[in-house]
Amino acid sequence: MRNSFIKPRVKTLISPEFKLLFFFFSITLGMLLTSYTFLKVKAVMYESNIAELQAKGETLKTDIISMNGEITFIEIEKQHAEGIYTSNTVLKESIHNLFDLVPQRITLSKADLKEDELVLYGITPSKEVYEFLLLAPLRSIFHRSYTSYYAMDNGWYSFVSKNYLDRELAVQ
Amino acid sequence: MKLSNLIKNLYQQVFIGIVVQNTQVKVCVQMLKGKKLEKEVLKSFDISQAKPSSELNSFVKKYMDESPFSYVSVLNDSITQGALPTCSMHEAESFSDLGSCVTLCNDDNWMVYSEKSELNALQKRFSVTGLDFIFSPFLLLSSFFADKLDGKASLLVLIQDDFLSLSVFCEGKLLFAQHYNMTDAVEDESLSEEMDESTEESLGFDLDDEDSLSINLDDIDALDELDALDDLDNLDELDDLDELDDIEDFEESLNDAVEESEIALEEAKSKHESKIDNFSDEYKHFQLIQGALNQFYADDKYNNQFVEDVYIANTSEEGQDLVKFLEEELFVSVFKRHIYLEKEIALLSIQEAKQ
Repeated sequence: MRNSFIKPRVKTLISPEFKLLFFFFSITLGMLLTSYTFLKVKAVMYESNIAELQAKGETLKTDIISMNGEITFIEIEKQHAEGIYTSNTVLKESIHNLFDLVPQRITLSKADLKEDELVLYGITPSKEVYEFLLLAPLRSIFHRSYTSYYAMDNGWYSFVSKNYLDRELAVQ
Repeated sequence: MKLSNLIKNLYQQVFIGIVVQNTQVKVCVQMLKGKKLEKEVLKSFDISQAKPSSELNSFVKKYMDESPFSYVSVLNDSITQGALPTCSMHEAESFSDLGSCVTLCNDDNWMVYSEKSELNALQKRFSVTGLDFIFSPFLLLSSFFADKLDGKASLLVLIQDDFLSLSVFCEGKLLFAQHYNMTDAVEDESLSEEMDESTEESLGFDLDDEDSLSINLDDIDALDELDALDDLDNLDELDDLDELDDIEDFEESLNDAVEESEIALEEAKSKHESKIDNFSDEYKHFQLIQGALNQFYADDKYNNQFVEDVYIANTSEEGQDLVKFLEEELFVSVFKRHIYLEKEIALLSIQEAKQ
């Protein structure tokens, strides 16, 4: 049974001043928590990025090692190629020099050129022509020269000339 | 027990009862912890135009700040208020127009009402501190004399400085109620005229009867001679008088005597006037009670019964003459009790806050 003409005001333990204080503290706390969460998320993201970058770094290191291997291999290949090129050039020049050695009167039918060995097949009008015009320069180049003659029907001689370079003597 | 009540009991609760009177506001502060009364403060403040002073507001605020569970309650001082012997709005229409009133049903058989605008004005007056409860003087009266309601027809009267509220209860049911504003009653010319005639007779003294005063003016023979002294200027014989200095001395002594007598007269008058004021208030109360009872007996709608006992709750210690009047004139048994309204309001607010 109500005895009062009006209803009492609502009573709360929290006063308006405390509510205001609580509100501002909540906002401050909220901002701090938001900042903390933001920084935490960022830190996690950075950590994740660091891990990714570290993995990437490792991959790159592996790649670098493999590429270094490839580079070394390529350099070796290059050196090898250069060696081949040089030897080819030398060979070419040797062949060129060889053909320059062969006089007009002698005709070569085959030439086997090896590293320390040269085998020539051809025909010559006479043994003297061969000996004076071709054997003499060959003897100046090679350490040993052996020539075999075969008489032909027309009076000419087919010859086989084997010339050797001695490696030990060449080094000396 | 509800959780809110449990929390309330853990905290200190502050109940502030306020009674607004014509010249002052009485405040009672009761501080409870659980059911134990820890502190009680009673204080009065002077006011003007029934508005709470800043001193009162700061006093109330100080105690309100003591606890989150503080309740400010005030006695309704609206002029348009009363009580009716029904809770049915339809039946209440035969007694009064309650269109603009707030009503409260009590015990499902009687209601108190008050003008809504006056309640709003009361709340506005206390807007600084705010109000939690506004109590009707009729509810307070029925609560104060709760043990007297169940018997035969009894008249309960609450006398305040500015208001007089009366109600007739029979076997716990309200039969009749009236609320009077004493400041309006003072303006009633016929009442004051009657009062002037009868009071002087009843009290057995007369202001004109100078024997009753502390100094009898007749005893001062020289007063009559004062007028004669005024004529002395026109007398030729004056020059012949050798005792002129004696006359001047005599005149001075006469003037002193007159001044003394005037002061004594004023004192005597004020003394009797205060006596008359008290008496007139009590006679006014008697006349209002007599008039209300006449109305109660005369109107059939009040289901009238003969009132044998009158219980008076008076905020002042006076009232012996009223008791005498009622017993001699109306042949009723009168019981008078002093009431500390502000304290009763605080107690009512404690009960109300429990609900």
